[in-house]
Amino acid sequence: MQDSEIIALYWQRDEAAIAETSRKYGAYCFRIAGNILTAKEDAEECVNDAYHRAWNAIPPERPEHLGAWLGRVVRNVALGRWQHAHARKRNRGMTTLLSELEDCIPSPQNVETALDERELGERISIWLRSLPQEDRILFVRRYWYGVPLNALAKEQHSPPARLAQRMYRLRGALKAELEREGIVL
Amino acid sequence: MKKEQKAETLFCGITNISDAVINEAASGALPAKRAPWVKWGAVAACACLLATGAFVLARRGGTDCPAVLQWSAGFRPEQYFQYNYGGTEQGGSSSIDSSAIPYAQTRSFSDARAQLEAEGVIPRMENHPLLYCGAHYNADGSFYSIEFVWSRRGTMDDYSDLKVTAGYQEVPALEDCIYVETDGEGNILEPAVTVTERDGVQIVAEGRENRNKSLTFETDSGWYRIEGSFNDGYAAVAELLDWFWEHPIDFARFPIEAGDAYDYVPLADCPDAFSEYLPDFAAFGFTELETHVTLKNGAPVALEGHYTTESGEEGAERMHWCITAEPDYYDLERAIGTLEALTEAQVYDALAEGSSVAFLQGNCCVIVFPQEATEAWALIASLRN
Repeated sequence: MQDSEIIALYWQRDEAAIAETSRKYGAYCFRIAGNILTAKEDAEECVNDAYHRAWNAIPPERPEHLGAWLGRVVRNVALGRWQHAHARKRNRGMTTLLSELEDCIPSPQNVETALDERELGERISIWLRSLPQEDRILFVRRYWYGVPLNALAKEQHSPPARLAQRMYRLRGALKAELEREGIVL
Repeated sequence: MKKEQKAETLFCGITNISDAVINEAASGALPAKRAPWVKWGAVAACACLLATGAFVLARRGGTDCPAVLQWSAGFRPEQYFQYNYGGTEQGGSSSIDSSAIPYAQTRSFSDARAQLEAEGVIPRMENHPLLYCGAHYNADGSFYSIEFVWSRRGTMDDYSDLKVTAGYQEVPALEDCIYVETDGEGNILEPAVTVTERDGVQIVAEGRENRNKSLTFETDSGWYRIEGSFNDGYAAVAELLDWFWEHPIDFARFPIEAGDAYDYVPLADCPDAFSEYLPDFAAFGFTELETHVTLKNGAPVALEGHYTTESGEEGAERMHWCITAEPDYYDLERAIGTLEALTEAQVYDALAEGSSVAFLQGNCCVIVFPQEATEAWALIASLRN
């Protein structure tokens, strides 16, 4: 079923919308949630929460790319779940991701700009578009889709250690870019 | 702000990167490098992808796979899934780049449903109004695989998608091309599967109640994967298994030249398509955002147009106009009448209940998704002049 048809079902308040969403994007959402949350029961609940949020958000929203939109919802729900202390202990995926992202935190600058999440996303998108395609895909696979490093190494047919170095350089490049833009987090 | 909170802010910023960047990386398709097993060719790889996600786990031996069940007369459908109490919906083959479509062409045999049923190629599925049948072919026109999807729509409880995918490629070096998922410490995560041996053939079952479920097996005649949606019971999937066990598909029945070829082109490529069916959008202040035409064997069979107005938010769609010359069961069911007999009140009522209104215009079914019922009615009424 086309995305526009699924979105039309949401607008009609037809519960088949959730079933169709699950059919088309269930595995995709579960993979993102599973990468981030690690614990299967948390990932399953996260995806179900995401479906309910989609049901509540559409309408009025009409996502242009339903997959990417759902992925964002899943990430937001996953972050919320991870923030509950009890979930932190069993979800190493998010802990690892955040600890890696700490490498990207810009140092304080003289002239600083605080951005909201959407503006920050736009700035990061601009930086990503300046990268070679392979680096861009690697970064997004790791930090948006949350694909574990060893799985990413398998996708890339590269030794994990070499890939880890490459990811480290990419994180450094993002940090340098944010500092160059005078962005503070 | 603590470092961890800053990292969370960055995580949220990354969440909001552009759709284009997200979609580009969706499949994990990285340019250039190839895996060693690519020498086997795309055919073999994708046969693995389609057919055998869990086969490798079943065959590998020395793993934690439960013992193989022995099929016998009276074997109950749920027994195929006996050990699948845990696990996820993820298949074991997820690392293979699913965006790299291994076949070059597709032809539809959906129109041949009655004939295929009469010939005993597929079972009669009277409770499933929709059938999609698509066959895939290699670049030289040779057969690659085929899929049948029987669908039923309605409420959540009345929803069904049953699917059969089959092909006859050999599947060498399975263990080379199946990605076994690992956790953060490199431990292999085994998907929960049940393996049943029936007439000397191993059937691998994935999924469970209220989850998508599948049965995969390979016989001398080819490999088969039979799938049911979360709402389909074990029995429905097992019934399809029994059918195709008794009626293996003769793939020669589906030569490329016998199927229907569908294409999807911008309206500019065939500007006359459905011209007599479309209202004069410009006269009502609408500007076209995007319109595509579906061609079947080169002839237009459907059109989908998106329109905006100057008064609305810039670039925002205000009217979505769909025309199909091949309405399916549900299109016809939702149509509230013919164009000639349609009344303003009917259109308003339909749009008060849902986001679209469907009606019959000549041999076509038109489905309109407007922002405002008044705009929809104005355009519909203009078609009668």
